[in-house]
Amino acid sequence: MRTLDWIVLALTLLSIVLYGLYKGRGSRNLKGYLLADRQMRWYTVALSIMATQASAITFTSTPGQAYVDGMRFVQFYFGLPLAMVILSITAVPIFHRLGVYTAYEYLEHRFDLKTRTLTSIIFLIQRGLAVGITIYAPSLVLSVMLGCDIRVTSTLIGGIIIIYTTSGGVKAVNWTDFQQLLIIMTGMVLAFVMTIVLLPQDIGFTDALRVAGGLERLNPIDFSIEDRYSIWSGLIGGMFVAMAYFGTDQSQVQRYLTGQSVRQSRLGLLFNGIAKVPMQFFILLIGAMVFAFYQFERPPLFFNPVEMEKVRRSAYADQFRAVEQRYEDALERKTEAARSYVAAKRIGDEQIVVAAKSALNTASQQAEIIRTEGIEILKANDPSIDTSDTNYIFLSFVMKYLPVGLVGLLFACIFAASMSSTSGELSALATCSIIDVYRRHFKKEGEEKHYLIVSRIAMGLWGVYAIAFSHYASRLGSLIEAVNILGSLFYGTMLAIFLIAFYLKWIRGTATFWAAFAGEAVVLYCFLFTQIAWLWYNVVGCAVVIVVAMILNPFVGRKPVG
Amino acid sequence: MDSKLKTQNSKLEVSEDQSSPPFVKSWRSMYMLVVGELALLIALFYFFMKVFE
Repeated sequence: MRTLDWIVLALTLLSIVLYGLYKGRGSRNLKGYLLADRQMRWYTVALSIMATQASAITFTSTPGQAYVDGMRFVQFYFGLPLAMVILSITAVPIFHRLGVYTAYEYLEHRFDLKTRTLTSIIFLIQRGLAVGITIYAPSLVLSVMLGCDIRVTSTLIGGIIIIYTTSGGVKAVNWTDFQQLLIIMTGMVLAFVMTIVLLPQDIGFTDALRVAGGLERLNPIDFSIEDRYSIWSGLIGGMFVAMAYFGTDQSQVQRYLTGQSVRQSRLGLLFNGIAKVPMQFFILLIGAMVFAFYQFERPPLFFNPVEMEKVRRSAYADQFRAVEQRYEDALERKTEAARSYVAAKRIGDEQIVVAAKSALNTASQQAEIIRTEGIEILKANDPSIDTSDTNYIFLSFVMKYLPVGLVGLLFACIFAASMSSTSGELSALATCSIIDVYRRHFKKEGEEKHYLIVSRIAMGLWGVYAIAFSHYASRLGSLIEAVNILGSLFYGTMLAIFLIAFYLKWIRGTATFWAAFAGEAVVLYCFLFTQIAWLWYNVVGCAVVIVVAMILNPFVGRKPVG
Repeated sequence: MDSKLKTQNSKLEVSEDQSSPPFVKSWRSMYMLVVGELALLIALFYFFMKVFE
C-alpha cells in the first residue's frame, strides 16, 4: 500500500470511530446503552441489520467463492425474504409489546426461567465462538498486507473495536453500522467498475460475462437436489437459517428491538428482505468478473503471497519454479482459448461456439491440474498450510490492480465490515450476559448505574475473549462457511424453541427444555458422523426438537400455559 | 409532565403501529411485495444464467 492508501484508510477508520463516539454520547442508563432508548427509525434499523450480517468475511470470501465455485452461493439467501416476512408478522409485535431487552427474556414469559437461561447460554456459546472468526478475517488482511504475525493484527483490530463499542453502546453500534454499510457499498461499487475498466481493450463487459458463463461461474440457479447450494436448500434451508438468525440470535434481534415502534422495526426487517439478495448477487458478480479478468491476465499460482514467498525460499524453489513456468504456458493457452470463445460468440455460429467452449474448458482444466501440482509442492514445503486460497483472491486483485487511493478505501471497507458485525455481536453478548445471566441470577436488585458499569465491563471482556479465540481460527478453511456451519449446529434447536413459543401454545417449558437437548444431540451426530449438508442441520434440529417436545409434553411439567 | 409525555408517546406508537406501511395500502400488500420481488429476482437470475451459459 502506498501513502495515499494509508491516508484514506486512516481517515475512514477515524471518521467511523469519531462518528460512533459522537452518536453514542449520553447513554446514561441501561435502556439507552443496550437499546438506544428505542428511538431508531427504520432506515437505521435496516442498514444496521444488514451491516451486522455482512461481516468482513462477506467481502473477502464471497468474491473468492464466486471465482472458485461460481455464483451458486446466492441461493443460500433465497429463504431470507420469506423469513423477514414471517418474523415481521410474529416476532416483532411480541418483542415490542413485552418491551424485552433480549429475545430470551420472552421465553421466560412464555415458558420458564430454565428455558430462557438455556437458550441464552446456547447463544453465548455459539456467538462467542463466531465473534472470534469475525475478528480473524480482517486480521488476515492486515497480516498479508504488512507481512506480520496475524496475532499482532487481530489484537490491534480487536482492541480498537473494544474501545469504540464499550464507550458508545448500542446507539453508537447502530449509527456506525449505518455509516459503515454506506462506505462498504461505495467501495464495492467502485471495485466492480474497476473489474470492467481493467479488462483488455478488445474485451467488453458482455464478453467477460460470456467467458465467466462459459466456464460455469454464472450459475446462480441450480435445481438439483443433491448439490449443497440449490434453489431448494436455499429456499427451505436458507429460510430456516434466516429465521433462526434474525429471530433468535440476539445480535440481530437487538438491532430491531431498538426500533421506535413495531412499524419501524418491521420496515427495517422488510427492507433487508428486499435488498439482501441483490446485494449478495452483486458481491458474487464482482468475484465472477475478477475470474473473467484473470482469463486475460496472469493470476498467481496460489493467491496467498506469504505461502508463495515461503516456497520460493525453500528447498522446493526450483521444482516450484518449473511448475510455475508450465502454469504460465497453460494460462497463455487458456487466454487464447478465451479469446477464440469470445470471437465465436460474437459470430454466433452454434457449432463454432460449442467447439470453442470445449477448447476453453479443456485449457482451463489443464491449467487447474498444473495448479494442483503446485499446491502439492506448497503442502510438501509446509504441511500445516491451508490449501484453500479463496479468502485471498479478491484482496490479491485489489492490491495488484486497483489504483492508489482505492486500495486504501477497499481495505477500509474490510475494516468497516468487521467493525459493524463485531460491534453488534459484542453488544449482544454483553446484553445477554448482563440481562439474562447476571441480573436474573446473581444480582436482581442492583442500581441502574451498577448495571451500566457491568455492561461496559462485559462488553470489554467479551472483546478480549474474541481476540483470544481469533488466534486459533486460522485452521478453519473457508471462513464464510466456517461461521455458517458453526451457527447451524445450534440454530435449529434455538429456532424450534421460538417456534414452539410462538405457535404451539399447548406445549410447556419442561418438555421444550428436554427436547432441546435431544435436538442438539441429533444435530451433533449429523455433523460428526454423516454427510448431510450443513444447511439441513437447522431443519433436522428444528424438527427433532418440535417432535420430541410434542411427545414429552403430556409426561413432563405440570404447570399449564397461560 | 413525564407521565403526560409518556402517554403521548405511547399513543403515538400505537397509532403508528396501526397505520399502513409506505407505498402500499396494507401490511399484507407489503409482504406480497417482498415475496414478489424474490420471485422476480429468481426469474431474472435464471434468465441471466441462460443468456451467458
